[in-house]
Amino acid sequence: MAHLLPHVTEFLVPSSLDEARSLLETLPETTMILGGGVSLGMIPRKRVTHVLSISALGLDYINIDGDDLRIGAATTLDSLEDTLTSDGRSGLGAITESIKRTATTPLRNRITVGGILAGVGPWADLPVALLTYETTVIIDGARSVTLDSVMEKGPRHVIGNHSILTEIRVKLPSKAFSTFVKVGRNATDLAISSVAVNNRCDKKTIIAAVGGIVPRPVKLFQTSVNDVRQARDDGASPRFMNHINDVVLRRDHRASDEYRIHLTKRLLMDSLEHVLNGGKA
Amino acid sequence: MKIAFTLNGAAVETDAHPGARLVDVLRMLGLMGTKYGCGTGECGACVVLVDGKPMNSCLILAPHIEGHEVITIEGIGTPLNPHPIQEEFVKAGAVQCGFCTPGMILAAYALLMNTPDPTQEEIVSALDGNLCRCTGYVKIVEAVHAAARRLRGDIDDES
Repeated sequence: MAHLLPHVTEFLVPSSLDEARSLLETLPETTMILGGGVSLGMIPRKRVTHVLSISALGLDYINIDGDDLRIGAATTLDSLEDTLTSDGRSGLGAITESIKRTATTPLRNRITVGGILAGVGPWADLPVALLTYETTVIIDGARSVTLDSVMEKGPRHVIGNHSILTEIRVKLPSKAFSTFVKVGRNATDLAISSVAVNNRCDKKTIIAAVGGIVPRPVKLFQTSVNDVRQARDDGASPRFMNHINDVVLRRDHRASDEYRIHLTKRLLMDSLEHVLNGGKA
Repeated sequence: MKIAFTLNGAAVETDAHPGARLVDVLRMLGLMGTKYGCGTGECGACVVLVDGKPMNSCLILAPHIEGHEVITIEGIGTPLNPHPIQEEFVKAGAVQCGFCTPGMILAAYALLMNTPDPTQEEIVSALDGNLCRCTGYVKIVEAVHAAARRLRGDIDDES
């Protein structure tokens, strides 16, 4: 059986962020920063010669501090789901649902939140949900950038080769109704299309994001609750839905472009109705 | 490179390539119960417990296991003294070719250690990372129900 990384000569496990950053300054471009390593199963990385694991950097934590949810980059999806479920805080339905719909139980025990964002692909579920919240990404424990910009420009470009994504911060809404839905060929398939919608009651706005159909998850629109209600009551195709026609579709052998656009519009309409009605809190 | 971890309750130190998969290291150590299936984390034939949680050993780099506790199918029962879950799989006819069975049993084991009285939905969810191409899953789910009842003491060992 072939090695997972056949050309790796060094596996480094720094115990502090400073040590990790110093190492990254000296290591070659063929160095890979590793969280759980699950993406290695989907994307072979034969050029990797050095691995720098973030497992001993103390980044496995979840803190709910006032209205801030702070998630260490090495936190697994399983831990995050457990914490959010046991905390019982409302308004995070889209996040917990996106975790439950990600991959399988053994993979969720291994996939890290940082790994999903730093190695984000079209099928990543959690970023779709996070885009409907005020989410920032912390790099090297200091630099803060919005998740929107990470998804728009690409994580490699925003984070940089010698830096480490260390934390994700989510501003918790005082009141929100949110949902996440996904369609694949079966329960654990990668998303053909995924949609998250968040009715931010505290700000009287509705935010929608999509994944699966695009190269990276993207925030689709932000509009007022009144706009959505008005469109629903009028029965007309609302203006904000036109944004779906502007997205650049990625190729997907599983379904045609026309089908995926139609599917995504249907998921959006159903999700909007769901959150307007108070859906899952 | 040297890797030290706990394997089925015993301290182990072994040499491994830094890019090797955990499943290969386990099989190199003679534990052939852990199977290499798809190599992409989809089939679950390679599932082992790492610190008590089921994980795909085909996607874990061997050095990542340093200092952790790994349990393989050999760690929960033996041919002469099988675990109740293993016995219930046999009784229910939940084993055909057997390739998926070690991963299935370990996934079920992790579930029942935390959820002694699981619902049908919880069992199906816990086994969502384990594919079986022979049985159609019905007998497997029945076996997990039966093992749960037995581990709770609801039925006699010989029933």
